[in-house]
Amino acid sequence: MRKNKNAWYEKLLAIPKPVIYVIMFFVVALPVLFKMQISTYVTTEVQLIYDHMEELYRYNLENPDEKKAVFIAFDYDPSTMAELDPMAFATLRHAFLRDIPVLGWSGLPTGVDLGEQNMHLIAKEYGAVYGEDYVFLGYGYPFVQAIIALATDVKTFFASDKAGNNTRDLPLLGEIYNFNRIGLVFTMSGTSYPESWVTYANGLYGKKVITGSTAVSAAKYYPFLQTEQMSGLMGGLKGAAEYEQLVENLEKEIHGKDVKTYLENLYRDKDLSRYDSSNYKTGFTPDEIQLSVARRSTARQGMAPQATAHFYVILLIIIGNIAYFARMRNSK
Amino acid sequence: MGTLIWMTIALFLTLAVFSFLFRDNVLYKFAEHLFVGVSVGYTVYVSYTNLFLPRVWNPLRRAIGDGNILLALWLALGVLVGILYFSRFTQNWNWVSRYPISITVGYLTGYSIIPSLKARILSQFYGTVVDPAGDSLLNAEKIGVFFKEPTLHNFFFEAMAGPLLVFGVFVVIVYFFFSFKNTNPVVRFSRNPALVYLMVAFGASFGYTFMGRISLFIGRMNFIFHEWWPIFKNMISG
Repeated sequence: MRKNKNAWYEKLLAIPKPVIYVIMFFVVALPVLFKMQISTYVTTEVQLIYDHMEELYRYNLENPDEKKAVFIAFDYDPSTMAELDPMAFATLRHAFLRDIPVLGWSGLPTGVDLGEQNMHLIAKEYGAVYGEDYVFLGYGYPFVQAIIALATDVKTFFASDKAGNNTRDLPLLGEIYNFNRIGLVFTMSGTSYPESWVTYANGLYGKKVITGSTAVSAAKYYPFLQTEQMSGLMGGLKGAAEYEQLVENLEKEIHGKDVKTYLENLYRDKDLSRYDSSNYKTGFTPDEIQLSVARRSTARQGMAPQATAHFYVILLIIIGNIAYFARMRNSK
Repeated sequence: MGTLIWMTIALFLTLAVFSFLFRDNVLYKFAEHLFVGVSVGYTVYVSYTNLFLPRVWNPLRRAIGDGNILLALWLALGVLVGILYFSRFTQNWNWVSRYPISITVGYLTGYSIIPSLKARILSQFYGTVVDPAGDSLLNAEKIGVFFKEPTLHNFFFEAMAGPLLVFGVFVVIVYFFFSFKNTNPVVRFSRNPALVYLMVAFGASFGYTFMGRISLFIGRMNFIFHEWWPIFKNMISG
C-alpha cells in the first residue's frame, strides 16, 4: 500500500508528539493560571467518609472521657503527593475542626517526613498541640507487624515517635494506644497498602477502613467498597476535590468565611507556652497565609484543567479515529 | 529567602524532568540521576534513624545499661539473624541468607493466610451472593419493583445491578478457565459477554489512570503558578 503523504488524514496521523504535548501544556496550564473552577458534585463514597467522621465527632461529644481517634497512614511519597496531599489535608482539617485526636505514621520510608510535615502544617492552622491532640509515630515498618501492634499497644512497637520523644511520655498515647479507641483508619496511598489495611485492620479487628487512593488504583477498590470492607473511598483528585468541598463548607460554618482573618487571630489569645517550636512556629507570615488559603482548594482548582485535558484527549481520539478510518477507506 | 531558593530548585527540576517530552537531554539525565541518588540516600537515612536507632541500638544500649541481659541477648539475636542477609554478597556463604528469608516468609505466610483468605476471597465471594443489607443479589422482588415503577433508576440500580454482577463474575471466571477447549458450549457462550465485562473494567481503569497522570501534571502547574510564582513576585516587588 502506497501512502499519499499529502492526504489530510496522513497529515493528521503524523502530528509530531511535541506539538501534542505543547498543546496539552497550554490546555492544563491556562485554567490553572486563571484559577478557573468548575463545580463538582459529591459522590456517595466520599459522602460516606464525611458522615463517618461526623459520627465520630458526635460519639466524642457524648463520651468526652472516652474519645476515639482517627488513625491516618500517610502511605505515599512525593511521586503521588499531587493527588494524595489534598486528601490528607482535608482529612486533617476535618479532624482538627472537630477536635478529633489524630494518630499517624507512614508505611513508606520516603513518606515519613512528608507525613510528619503535613501533620504539623495543618495542626498549626487549628492550634492543635503535639502530644495532646495529635502524634506522628514515624515509619510503620514492618508494615503488617505495625498494624498488628495497633491491636495491643502501639507504644511497645514505637518506643519513640518520629521526633524522638518517648511515646510513654505523650499524654495522647497514654489514653489512645490501640484499636479500641481508634474510630476510623484512613490510608492514603498509591500502593497496595490499602488492601493490607482491609486484610488486617478490617478483616481481623473489624475497624472501619477509609481509603484515599491515586486515580490509577481507585478502580480496583470498588469491590471492597461494595462489600463494606472499605467504609469510604476518595479516588484521585476528583475524590479529594469532593471531600475538600465538604470540609470547606464545615469550616465556613465554624470559623466564618474569612480564612485570612481567622489565621491572623488564631494565636492572639492563646497560651503559647503549650506549643513546641520544633513542631511549628506559632503565628503566620503573609506568605504562609497566602499558601494556606491556596492549599484549601488545591484539588478543586485541579478539576477545571482535568476537564479541559479530558476534552482535549477525547478530541484527539476522535480525530485519530476519523483519520484512521479515512486512510482505511482510501487504501481499498 | 530560604523557602524561595528551595522552591526555585524544585521548579528547575520539574522543568528538567518535563524536558524529556521533547527529547532525552542532559538536564533530564541530571534530574533523573539526582532523584535516584537522593531517594536511595534518603531511604538509607530514614531506615537508620527510624528503624535501626530506635528499634535496635537504643534499646540494646538501654538493656545493657540496666543489666537486662535477657532482653539484650534477645535483641542481639534478632540483629544476628538480620545480618545473615548480607551473606548474599558472598559466593560461598550466600546459602546462609536463606535462614532469615525463611523466618520472614514463614512468619508472614502463617500470619496472612487466614486474614487474606477472609478479606480477599470469602468476603468478596459473599459479596457476589448477597448485598451488604443481606438481600440476595438475585432478588426477584426488586425486579417486581421495576415493573411496578418502571424508571431507569429502578431498572439499573435495583432490578439489574445484582443479576448483572453475578452474571459478570460467572462469565469472567469461565473466560479464564482454561481446562476446557474453546468448543465447549459454556465457554463459547461466555466468551463475548466476558470480553464486554473485561473491556468495561479496563476502560474504567484507563479513565482513572488518565485522570491520575493529568493530576500529577496539574500538581506541578499548581506548584509553579500558585506557590512558587506568588512568593517570587512578592520578593521582586520587595
